[in-house]
Amino acid sequence: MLKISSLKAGYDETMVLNNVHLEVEKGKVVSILGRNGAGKTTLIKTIIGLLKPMDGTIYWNDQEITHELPERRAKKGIGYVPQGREIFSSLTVEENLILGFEAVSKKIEKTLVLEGIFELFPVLKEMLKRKGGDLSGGQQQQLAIARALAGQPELLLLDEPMEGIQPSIVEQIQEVIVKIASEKGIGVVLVEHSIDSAFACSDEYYILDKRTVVSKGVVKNTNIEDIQQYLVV
Amino acid sequence: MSIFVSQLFNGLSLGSIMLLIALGLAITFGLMNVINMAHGELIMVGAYATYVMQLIFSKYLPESLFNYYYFIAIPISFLVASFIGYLLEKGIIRFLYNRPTDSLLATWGISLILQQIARSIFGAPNVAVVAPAWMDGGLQIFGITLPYKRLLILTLSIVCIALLYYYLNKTSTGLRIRAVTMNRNMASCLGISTRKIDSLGFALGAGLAGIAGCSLTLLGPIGPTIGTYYIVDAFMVVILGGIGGLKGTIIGAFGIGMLSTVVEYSFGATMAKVIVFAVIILFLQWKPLGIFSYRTRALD
Repeated sequence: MLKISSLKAGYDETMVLNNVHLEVEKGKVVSILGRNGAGKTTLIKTIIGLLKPMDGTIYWNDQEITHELPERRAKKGIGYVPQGREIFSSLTVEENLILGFEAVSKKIEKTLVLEGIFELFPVLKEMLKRKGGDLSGGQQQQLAIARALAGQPELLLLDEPMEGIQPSIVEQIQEVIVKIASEKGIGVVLVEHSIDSAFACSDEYYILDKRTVVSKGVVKNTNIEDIQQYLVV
Repeated sequence: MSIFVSQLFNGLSLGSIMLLIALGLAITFGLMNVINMAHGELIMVGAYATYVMQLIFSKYLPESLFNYYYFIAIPISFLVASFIGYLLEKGIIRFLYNRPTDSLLATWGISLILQQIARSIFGAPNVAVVAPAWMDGGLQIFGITLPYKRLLILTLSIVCIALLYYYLNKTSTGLRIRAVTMNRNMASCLGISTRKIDSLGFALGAGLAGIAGCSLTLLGPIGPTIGTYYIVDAFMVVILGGIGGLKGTIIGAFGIGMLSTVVEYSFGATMAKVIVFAVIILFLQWKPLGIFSYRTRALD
């Protein structure tokens, strides 16, 4: 579904990623691990199109999207939940969710989609009229994921969705990730720095270090001890 | 006392014109970080559009209709100004996004060009726009005369602001405009076409300037440089009000409008400018981001 090859990316003169290959299949959860500054967020931003790659190609359903704008990628079915959530804090929860529908070009039954979303995140339903900025961190994170899901993505990019969030909501988010992948066939790219929470809900993993992918594999066949060397500081 | 009240009323109507001008500036600056010095010339476009409508009505249409030409001139000046604004955005300004200083110089150049075009078409001297006869005179309340023209300007501004408020806060396009203003990247990642929103916002702001130009024709003769008288004050309103919200711009416009007319009455026009500027500078020492600002987080 998503296929990245020989990707080189970075900011201005600084190259952060070099020769990165990555593939995500439908319904699979792929986690991206690595130390701070390994380029995880850079990779995600390049996939959604906020960063222009210096070299390499990005294919989406066998179509090249390397040079397309984020809004086009969103319309093609890539949903994005950025680090720090970036919900619109002075808009209401409802307005934030409505903006999520911008990515959907065909006519859909919005109330039905929202019902489905409220099943995953019941807390949002009670807060529809509240300002996004008044929500707690965990609630904002749920809103950010819900907003991305409203766009009916085929692929969901999650950048550290469990960072700084209370354990009960972390568990809930992990459940949601597993659920949307298995039930709706959505592919998920999950950036995480904690190997335990990543492995709790992923099918495959990639580890970034020294600008490139140093290890990858299938989670259930992998022993955490074997790859910990790449992650300890 | 009655003089003071009528000065206050004049301030209110000046403030409402400033508001129309400043709203457009606030939209373009908030949305795309472009300082549009040519905004004043969009006022001029609106004013000349009204002038042309007046000529057309007095020359080609029966005299009985002349009384109503102003009501046609309002939407026409909006449309003409927003169309020219749209062309400017498509042709030049979109290359200047997020470069406030470059945009300042380039749009200043555009403003000179537009002024010269106006001179070539309409001549350098000011032209007077003849208002319909029914607008002369005023409403008598407690011994104070409120001129109909100024009442009309005030009403026009209030209607425009109400419509703009509705558009921005209750329609889906308005929601998109607000989203792009608050967080352009995130809005784009959600699938909002930011380019379209930019053009739309720019045209909308230009159209509001056109309506301001249309109302200025009621206050005196108009000329190619009419916009330059108002642009600086309008920028003051935007800075004072803070970027990104209607509320701040509204308070800023009426504040500056009333303050300058009242001070002008007691100290003369030049001193009034000095005092108003001093007050603004002092205020910004206290609140550097203006009265209201959505943009606090974007700056850190």
